Amino acid sequence: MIVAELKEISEIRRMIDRYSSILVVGCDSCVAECAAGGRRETMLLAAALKLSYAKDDKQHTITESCLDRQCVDDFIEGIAHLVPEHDVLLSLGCGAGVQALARVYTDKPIIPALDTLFIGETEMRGVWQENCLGCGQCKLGYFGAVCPVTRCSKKLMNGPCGGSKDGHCEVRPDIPCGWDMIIRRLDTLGELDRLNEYVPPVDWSTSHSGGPRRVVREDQKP
Amino acid sequence: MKLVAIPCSGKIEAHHLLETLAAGAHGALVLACAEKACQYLEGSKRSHKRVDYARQWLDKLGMETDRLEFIHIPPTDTEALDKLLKEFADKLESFEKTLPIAQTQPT
Amino acid sequence: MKTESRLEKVLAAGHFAVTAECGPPKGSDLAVLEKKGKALLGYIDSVNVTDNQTAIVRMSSVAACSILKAMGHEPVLQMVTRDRNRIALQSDLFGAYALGIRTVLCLTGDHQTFGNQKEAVGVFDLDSIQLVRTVREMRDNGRIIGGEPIQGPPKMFIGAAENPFADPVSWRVVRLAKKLQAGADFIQTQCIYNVDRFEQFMRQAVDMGVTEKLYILAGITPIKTAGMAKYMANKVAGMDVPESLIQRVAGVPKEKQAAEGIKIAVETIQQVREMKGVAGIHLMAIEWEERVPEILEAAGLAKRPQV
Repeated sequence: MIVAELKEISEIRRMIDRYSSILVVGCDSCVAECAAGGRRETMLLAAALKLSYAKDDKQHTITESCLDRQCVDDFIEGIAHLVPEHDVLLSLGCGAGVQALARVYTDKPIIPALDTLFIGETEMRGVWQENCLGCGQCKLGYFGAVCPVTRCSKKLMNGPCGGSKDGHCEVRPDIPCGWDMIIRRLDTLGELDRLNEYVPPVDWSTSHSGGPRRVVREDQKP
Repeated sequence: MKLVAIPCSGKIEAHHLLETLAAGAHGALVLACAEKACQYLEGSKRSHKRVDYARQWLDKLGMETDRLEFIHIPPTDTEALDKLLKEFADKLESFEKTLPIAQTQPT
Repeated sequence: MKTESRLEKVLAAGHFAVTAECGPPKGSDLAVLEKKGKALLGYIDSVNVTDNQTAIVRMSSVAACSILKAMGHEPVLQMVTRDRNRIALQSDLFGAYALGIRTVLCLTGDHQTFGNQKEAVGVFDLDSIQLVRTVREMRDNGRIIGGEPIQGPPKMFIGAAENPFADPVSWRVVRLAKKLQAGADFIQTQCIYNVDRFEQFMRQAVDMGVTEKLYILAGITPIKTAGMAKYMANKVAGMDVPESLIQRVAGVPKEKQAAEGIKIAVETIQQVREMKGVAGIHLMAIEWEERVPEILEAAGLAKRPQV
């Protein structure tokens, strides 16, 4: 899912201080899973902002609401009745949610309360790991289901660099070397032979390099 | 001083504590059963963590973290409880600036 | 002969080759470059010019190669894939060849977080093996990636780097074979302090038949101080610095440590020279280029062949 983190309260304050009536909108999907923008986090942030403004002797109206999913048009309509009486929407959605709100509520500023980070998995409660960069040409089958684009800091396709040490990446010791992971996996699966073949330069045109992407499915349209 | 009874301290979420303060309370004290006596096994343990988390939030907001406290207390020791409550109330009084109640909203 | 590269000529003729390294200045100061170039001139077969090494911004390698060539050197253009996409890399190869450069070393490059522009994007459009293949395609088939023909294809002698000491160890010779397959003509290794381990690596390379198809040059870096040895052992990825070596340098008074480091370098050169499959040395005396002549004299390698 998409993983995000809450911005510093000081940064959030700087962005919304000019507005007097604030609607805090959470999202109960991905960002709830990573404890950044779900129901609980929405109520927490709203309470924190109330305290923050009270402490500074400022008058702001703060309302909170949480959508099941902030990136889907039908769901976004769920707060339509609340929007008009507020000056701004403070979104705890990921970047997709923030922008989706902006597309629907065209006359309201939408401020992000989160920094969206990556597509990843929950390894255990409290630990989220990036594992997909959306390159658009999934080759995971050739690499033992470990992504060389995402798990290798240099996106190498033909084996590890000279900086791999004890299974760690040269960038930071807490980053496992993606290629070490690939080699171990393929070794376990008895498929190391897959790595003998030369992997040619990647076609990045299907990634964001080719421009922002769009998927249209006629069979899915109403 | 307002007393709110709950089935287990584990029902308290961090946002409840901040909302309590935002509604005008000067502080909040979570009284939990002894750790080994938790009927829901981990309830008080989790509650403790959440109080700590809420205190971190107070720190971020530049407010006194001691406005929130978590204490294990044997339910039958009324003398100890009395003493505790008085100490907590005194401490809240001693804070330089307490929140203006009028400017916050009811939850 | 595949190219006009002097390095290829020296190696093909069976001489034990000597290459050294030169880091361009952190700016446009020609004097710095000329000083280094003068110190090395005549003692080596080719000089590697690094490409924004450790992701620190320096004068471009192509430019520095061109300047050193004008001084009489035979440069080896180092190219990393960290900073430039395939358009820029291929373009630079065209330009470098037009400026008289005949040898290129294809590298991935240290991650940008190591240098002084940590917030930069890391390009890594290609990896080093794909770059090797690209340079070979240019030379042998006169085409760029995608197949379009080149107007005056560069014909480069192609090098790659290998680190016999990086993990996973079992993988190092496999990756070497892959580089050979991609088109590497020569390899320069990471600097060697653990001679035994390097010997194991060489034996594997010989057994796999790799050394019959490409030339391996052993990397040598003289230790300046015990502090430097410790730093390399602990802070630099992919280095194997035996404790015994650190103790040896630390065991002499500070003012004598440099001389001890040079002694070790000369000994290492003599040891690797005896190993089957080692075709030469790559002497990386970074910011210490002025000591290269004495190291080579002591190792009996200072007189370079006429080819």
